Amino acid sequence: MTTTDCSACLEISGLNTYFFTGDGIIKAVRDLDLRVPAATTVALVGESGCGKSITALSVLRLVPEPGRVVAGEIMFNGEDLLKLPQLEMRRIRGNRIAMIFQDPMTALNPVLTIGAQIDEVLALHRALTGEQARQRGIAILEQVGIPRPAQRYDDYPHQLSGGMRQRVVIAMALACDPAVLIADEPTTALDVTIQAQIMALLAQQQRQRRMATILISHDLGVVAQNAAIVAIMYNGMIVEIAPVATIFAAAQHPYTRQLLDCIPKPGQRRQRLLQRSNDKHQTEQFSAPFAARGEHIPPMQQVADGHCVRRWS
Amino acid sequence: MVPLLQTEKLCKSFRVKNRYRSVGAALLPAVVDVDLTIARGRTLGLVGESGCGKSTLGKTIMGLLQPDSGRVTFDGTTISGLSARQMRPFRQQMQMVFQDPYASLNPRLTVFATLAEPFKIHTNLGAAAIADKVMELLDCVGLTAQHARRYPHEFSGGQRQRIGIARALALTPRLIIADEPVSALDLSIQAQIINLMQDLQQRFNLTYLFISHDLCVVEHLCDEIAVMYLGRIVEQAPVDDFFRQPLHPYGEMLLQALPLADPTIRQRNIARGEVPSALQPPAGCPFHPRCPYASAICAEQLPPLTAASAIRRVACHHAGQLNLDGITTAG
Repeated sequence: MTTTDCSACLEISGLNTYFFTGDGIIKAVRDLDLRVPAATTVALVGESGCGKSITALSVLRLVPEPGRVVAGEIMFNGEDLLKLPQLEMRRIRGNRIAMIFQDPMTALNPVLTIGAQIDEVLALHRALTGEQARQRGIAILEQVGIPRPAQRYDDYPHQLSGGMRQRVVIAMALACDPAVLIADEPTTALDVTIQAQIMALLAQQQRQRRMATILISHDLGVVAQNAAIVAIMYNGMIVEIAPVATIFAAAQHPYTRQLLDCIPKPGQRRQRLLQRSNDKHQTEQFSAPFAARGEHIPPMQQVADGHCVRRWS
Repeated sequence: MVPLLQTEKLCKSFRVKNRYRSVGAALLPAVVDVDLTIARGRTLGLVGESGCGKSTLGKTIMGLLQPDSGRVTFDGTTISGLSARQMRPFRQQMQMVFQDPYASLNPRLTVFATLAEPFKIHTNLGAAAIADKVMELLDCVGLTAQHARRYPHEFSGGQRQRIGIARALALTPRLIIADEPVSALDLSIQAQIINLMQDLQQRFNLTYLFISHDLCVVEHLCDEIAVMYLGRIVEQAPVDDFFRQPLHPYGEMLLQALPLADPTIRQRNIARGEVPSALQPPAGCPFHPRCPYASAICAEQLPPLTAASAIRRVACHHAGQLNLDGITTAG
């Protein structure tokens, strides 16, 4: 967004990902532009189905059938990821660009020890095997705060608590020192005290490794505390993007404001009703300005340095 | 005035069978010595991390689970230990709203059939009268008559939760136990359901037991808060007092772990450790292994839940000496 920053580690421009279903085309991601500079956390925020996760999967070229990236370019290290051959992409996936998924129980293989799963990553991308891989694996487990990593290395996922499992998933993602980390709702499945621990761990690792991070979340609290830049998504589009302080203090898009008004904040008196409450047909109302204008999507307009908004009116 | 709901020394444990050995079923104490009181028309928020026994407590109060010991009193009548037949009149007066709006509605019944069922079971109204009642209910929760003929799969999560609430309201209950009713919903839908619950409370003078792990929602909706840890209530206080200054170190840990939706406030993060297994709860105070203020006595003696003031209770040996941080609120 800031034109002075040219060290963007990952740059997405004009991304369109559509799903070709029997009932018609679903435009999951529309005209998405996003720069993720090194050592910066960019948050993608929005409600379920707004296209956050599909954006992340598009970057990794893992969009499930019947979805397809129909246009756009994703520049990483001077290469367009969308044009790379499958084999090259495999070299990058999990190595230079890693992903942390929401549910650690489904992200881990229940019949393999956590050590074996970290080994797999190291064998594939670093050609480490045997004792070397084990030592490296234990070192990574220690870095992510797993107590007694040498013993834990031989444990199965079911022997660990939810928080520890998520630490293992993070260890796997960090095993090859990625340049870009995509964290898709990394703490949604966790309790609040564990969530705080995991987010602190991610922040610490991100600072140390200077990773470009995409944090996908619907929790504006997590975003406020962890992101530097926030992109608000609605209906497949980024409707507003700005530095975190600006989003929370001076949001311009009506959807961003409505989203912020929905958070029950500590200290807010209970008599003060939330703004989106009273309109019964809010969904219809809200999409009306989009529907009325059909397929036309207005371009992002810059309103301040690093602050862009899509305006329909 | 008699409180609407009261529990005394309520205990519930489960036998956990070892799948691979036939002997040695372990006892999991899910709810231990819980004393709670909810006054008419008030909302009590029950918070705690997963596995702390919140839902078990809710189900035990409802009579869906039989307590091992202790007593549940509803409007002055002891209801724990009643037979199913004796329980019937009370079931009309206490209803439950469940967390998962996808799993708690029968997929084979239309909304009309779901909402008509309570009337068929508990009243002798005729078909026309029931139809009127159902339409009235739909209107209460912001749905329309055309929704009545549809099946649950045709609705969004928020709409399904509205149906769940309508079903709970059908027989004009006095107490509603809501078990994480908004946890599965998106933020804006969450706000709608919270508002709906507030409106309905005023309109029908309902009393809520609101079970949640989300402190912000509890703060918004509840008058009082009870914090549970490993099956016990460790603190109970009016919501505002608790947020200003918790008395139990666990209360402080929960508040400090909250990610505040305000990038200008960076909070101190003191959460450490994880909840121990309820199968082997620590000796002494169950919280002492994670507590930054623990001393020798905490590892040995269980602190009782005692009155800290006329309106607050806390179970901590050091409650008097600690000066814990709440959340200073802006606006």
